[in-house]
Amino acid sequence: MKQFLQVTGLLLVMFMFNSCGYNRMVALDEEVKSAWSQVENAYQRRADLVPNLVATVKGVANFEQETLTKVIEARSKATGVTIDPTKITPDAIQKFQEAQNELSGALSRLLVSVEKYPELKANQNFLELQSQLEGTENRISVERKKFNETVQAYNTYVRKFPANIIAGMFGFQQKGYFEADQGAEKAPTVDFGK
Amino acid sequence: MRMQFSATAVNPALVAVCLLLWAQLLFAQVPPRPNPPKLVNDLANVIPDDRETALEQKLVAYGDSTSTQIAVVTVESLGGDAPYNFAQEILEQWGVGQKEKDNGIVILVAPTERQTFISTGYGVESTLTDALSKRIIETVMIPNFRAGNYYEGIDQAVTAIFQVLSGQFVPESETGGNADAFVALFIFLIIILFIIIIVYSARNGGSGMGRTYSGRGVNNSGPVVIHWGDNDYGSFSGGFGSFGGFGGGSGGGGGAGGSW
Repeated sequence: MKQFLQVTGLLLVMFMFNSCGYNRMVALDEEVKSAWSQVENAYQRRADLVPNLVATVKGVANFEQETLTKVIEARSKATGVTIDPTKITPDAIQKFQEAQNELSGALSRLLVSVEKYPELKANQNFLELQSQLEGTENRISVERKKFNETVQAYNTYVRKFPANIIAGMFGFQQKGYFEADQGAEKAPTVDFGK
Repeated sequence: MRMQFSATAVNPALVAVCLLLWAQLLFAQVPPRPNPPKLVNDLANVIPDDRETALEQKLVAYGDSTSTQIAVVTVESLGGDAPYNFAQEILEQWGVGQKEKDNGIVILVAPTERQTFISTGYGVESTLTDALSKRIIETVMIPNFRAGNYYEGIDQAVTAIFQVLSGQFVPESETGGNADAFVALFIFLIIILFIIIIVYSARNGGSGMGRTYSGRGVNNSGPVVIHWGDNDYGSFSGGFGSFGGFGGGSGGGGGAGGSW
């Protein structure tokens, strides 16, 4: 009899978990994590391009030192801010985004000032780096979009009744979104025309 | 019990983000997946019909032999969207390339906006790098497009992509790291397999091993199920030279674009 009760209880709990979507929450949570790792990859890819870019630009006689220093600083700041994938809170995302935006800004200034150096614009190595950087900015934007979609699915699910009760019990917090960058500042510069 | 998510009904920031997401969805009005599926989708009607058939067959043959799917899409309008986003949405929504390999490529041409973009799936972006895509666009596509020769530009780009993917253009960034990781994974899998076999034979006596193997044998030699419909894995759909369907590949915005 005792065993029967135990088994029934267990089945009941399992049923409750299923109907209240515990398993679904876990699945959605995992999706968000994997989308996040793709976002991080894309940003990492950009950070990895920077040393090469700086080295190439440096090769050109008296390139503005200040612009370069700013890029290097912003890069080290940006790579210093990482997010624990189990704690993707709105706050954490915002900090991450701020640090990365700083690098975006520094890079776009660098690319604007490149316009003044025709020898650089004819440099094959630099042109390759440019197209890589352009591709990386596209990747960042795509992965952010995908991440936002998975977070949206997760947040919607976790907030609905009765899933919100289970979510509260097991600590499935709402996760943060990437917000659109201010103005048209989004990967602007990297479209250096021809 | 904490009910932390019930009361936060109106969060202005969240509403703003939702609106933005919605706007983005509206923005990316990519054409629906062609039915029946085909690789050359000349929606802007800039490729002569007989050439279109030839190109389709070329791409289908390539897809059959390599499983890499290259979709050519010309559109009348991007609807204000960025070319990279438009091409990536097509790649993703149509599912160009095989699901496990993500080896799809979309060549997007928008003659009205004079924009083009080659979008690569996750699986091909390490071979067909952004820099190589850019080079193909600038050396082959744009000069032809300027002269109004859309078919020639696209066809030559396709040929160049074949060459890149078959390794005639060696990508610049090859590292040994991947190979090492692969070997490690392989060894790991063998160890796991060993443990499983040992556990099985300990449990079932000598017959355990035999069973494990016969089980796998059936799986491997079972009939190949051919699915019909949109989510096919590049299977033949009967007739000669016709395209079997997109495989559900996905991409992360890799590739390059250009305008003329």
